[in-house]
Amino acid sequence: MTYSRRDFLRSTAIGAGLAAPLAQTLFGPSVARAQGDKHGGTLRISATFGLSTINPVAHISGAEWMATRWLYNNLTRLNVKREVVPDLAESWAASEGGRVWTFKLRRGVQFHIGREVVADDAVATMQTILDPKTASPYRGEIGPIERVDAIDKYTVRFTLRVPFADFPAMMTLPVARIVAREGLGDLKALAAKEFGSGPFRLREFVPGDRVTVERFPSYYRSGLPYLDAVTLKIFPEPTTELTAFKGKETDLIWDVSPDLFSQVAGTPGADAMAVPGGTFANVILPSDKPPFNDSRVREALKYTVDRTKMLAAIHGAHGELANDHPVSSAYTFYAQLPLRTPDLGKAKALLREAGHGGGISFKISVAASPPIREQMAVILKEMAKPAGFNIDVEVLPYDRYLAQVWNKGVPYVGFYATRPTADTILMKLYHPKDGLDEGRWAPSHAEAVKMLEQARETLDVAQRRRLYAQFQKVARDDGPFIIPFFRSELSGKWAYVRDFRLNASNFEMDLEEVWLTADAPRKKA
Amino acid sequence: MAFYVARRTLSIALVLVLISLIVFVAIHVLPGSAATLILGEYATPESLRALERDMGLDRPFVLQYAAWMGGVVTGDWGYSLAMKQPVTAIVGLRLRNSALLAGFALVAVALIAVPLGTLAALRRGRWLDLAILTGSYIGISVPEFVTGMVLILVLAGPSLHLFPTGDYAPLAAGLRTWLSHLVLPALTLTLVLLAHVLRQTRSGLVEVLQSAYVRTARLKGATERRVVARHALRNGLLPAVTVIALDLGYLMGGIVVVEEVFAYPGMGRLILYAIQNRDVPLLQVSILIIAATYAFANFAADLAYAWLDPRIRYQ
Repeated sequence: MTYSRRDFLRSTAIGAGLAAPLAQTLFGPSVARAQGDKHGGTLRISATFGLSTINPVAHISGAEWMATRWLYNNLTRLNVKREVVPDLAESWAASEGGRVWTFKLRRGVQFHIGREVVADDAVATMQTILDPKTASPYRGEIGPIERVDAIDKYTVRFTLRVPFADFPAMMTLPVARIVAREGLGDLKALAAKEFGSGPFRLREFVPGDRVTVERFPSYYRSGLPYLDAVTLKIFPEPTTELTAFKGKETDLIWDVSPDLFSQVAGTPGADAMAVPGGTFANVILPSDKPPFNDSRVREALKYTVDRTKMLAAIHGAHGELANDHPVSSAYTFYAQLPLRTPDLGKAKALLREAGHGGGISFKISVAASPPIREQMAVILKEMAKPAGFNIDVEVLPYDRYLAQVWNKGVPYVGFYATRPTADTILMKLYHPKDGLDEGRWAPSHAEAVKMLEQARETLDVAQRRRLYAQFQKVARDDGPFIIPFFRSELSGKWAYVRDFRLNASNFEMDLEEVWLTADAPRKKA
Repeated sequence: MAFYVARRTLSIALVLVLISLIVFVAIHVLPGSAATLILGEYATPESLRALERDMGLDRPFVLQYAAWMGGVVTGDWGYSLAMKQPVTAIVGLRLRNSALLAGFALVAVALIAVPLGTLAALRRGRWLDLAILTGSYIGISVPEFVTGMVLILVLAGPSLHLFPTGDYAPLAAGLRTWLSHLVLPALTLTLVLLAHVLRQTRSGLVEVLQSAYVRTARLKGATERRVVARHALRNGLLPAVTVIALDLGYLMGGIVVVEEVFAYPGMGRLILYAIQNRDVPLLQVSILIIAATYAFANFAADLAYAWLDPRIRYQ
């Protein structure tokens, strides 16, 4: 812990009880104000890709999610401890066993357009997301909503098709930003304009390059935010991004690769931040046709993976080893199961048993970005070779990958960011209707899929815990994915950026209480 | 002359229409559509269909092209599919940025390459000539991302930090700030392009200096300065003019790597973005602008030829 001049001034002042008068006589009024003031300054953040749109209904990249987090509010939000806490909604309650959820809105919250946030806005936003014509990418992720009604000016009621225990967490999703009704008429315009109530309002947006937001003086959390402005700038080349950071042209790097992370860590005055979460890459083994329809072949391949080595090689040991299912310890319903350790003998035996004593050849296709996909496939290829797997790795540009490989029932490497709850990622991965079932596993494992449905439909926490634990075991032993590890989110910032906490969902960048010390380059006195 | 200009303009227009058709066909041959890329790994068959219908991508190819062409003819350049904004608004800023960078780089190249090339020609075969040639070779041989990176690490690194790493600033931010952002990318491009112009100037001048009329000029007693500046350079520069014209086209759209390294939002990055996102309206306009730049720069070079060498006449 360092003891700065500011701390010194503050502590001596409190001790002597003459802080303000003394400081004022010594330094004059403006200095005294600057010393104790968290307000002011511009925070400059960098990222390397994705800033095409700021339309919350349609954006799909982390940088975009970050920006809309500053411009808008949700009904609920996910704090750094990953708890669902109030945002626009002050309170919420379930009825009919979790099939009906009622949210009470905070009164007097202002939109940037100068009008109060009311229940109608939340209803209109949700209806826009659910309208098939909108083609919102998350229509399937936001929950089994049947209808949304405004009960009165400050009460919104969601009626679901089936009970859903985690529904309030769905309202934290980036897609569920509450947009003022006026903004929903023209979704094209919403791509570059904002109709939010968030801590910052839009100053400038240059798609693909930068977004600048400025303090909204009538924000509902009075006195917040402390920052006058925030810019997010895209540096496509990570080395340039790091040099800009080192030269204090930027104050915070949002997402750093492991090799550049060690450089941030070695820079005096810079804080390297690593937060364990639930982000992972997975090798998808289509289980509806040979060879992977035989669970022994899947298990054999899982036994070839040295997870510790793989994590160290790909993410510099910043992460948590995984058990071939997508639930990390960041989620409430994580079950601690014995970790699978590499065992080539067992792998060979399983292959022989499955009638593949002579070995198996197959191809894994990967998109060129993010690099973790190719890294994982190439390392798996080497690790699995001694057991008799001949893997051919094919690297494709992202557009060809999407059109020809993704969700087409062939082996490839997927990539998933941390979700608000275990349910969200489990449904996405395994459920044939509400998710993708990329592993083509659900038809032969109806019972396991049923577990997931039961677990989300009951409010009984103990029962949910039991069901999720059971499912994690099935997925580990029999599931269609190899998930070797969860990678930590890596970021860097200068020490003069205070009270910034990296969320495991690192795009949930809450900047309301962040402030700059007086020695920050862009802090106005 | 007027007829010549009219004929050239017309043929350029024809070339541009052809290019637009080729781009349109090419992007349809590529796998996937703007809809698949907008929805990414969140797509469902229903949302894909809805989005393709909304963007008119479900119509036959000919109708899509006709609709786009109809728009262009009536002055409607369309909406970017990925950014959902009028193409003109998106392209405007990039075009200005690219023109600015290209302008700076070309002026720097001309100001450095022409005198150095002349010097090399006059000192042909001596060590100065050799030094100039070798230096320019190094500039063109090192890939631009390496040059750019080295300049960033040395001149923008924390130890010196003479210039910002990249990005751009509006003129409103002050002349110094505005200029400081342009220095490193412009310097990189200058180093890369120097050899083209320098060597053309040198070889053009070497040839001219050996010609009969230069000997005549010398024999009639003109000073060496007058011989070079008035007689030789005017003719010797002709090849360099062509190269500068081609470089302009390259600078306006071909410097993707430099724009990426310096996080500079110009036309090159925009075209890459448009291709990666199958953003047909955005791509069409961007490509047409580059093609038009090439065509008109060449045209201008031809006109400059006639001005530099009065023997050249166009009919």
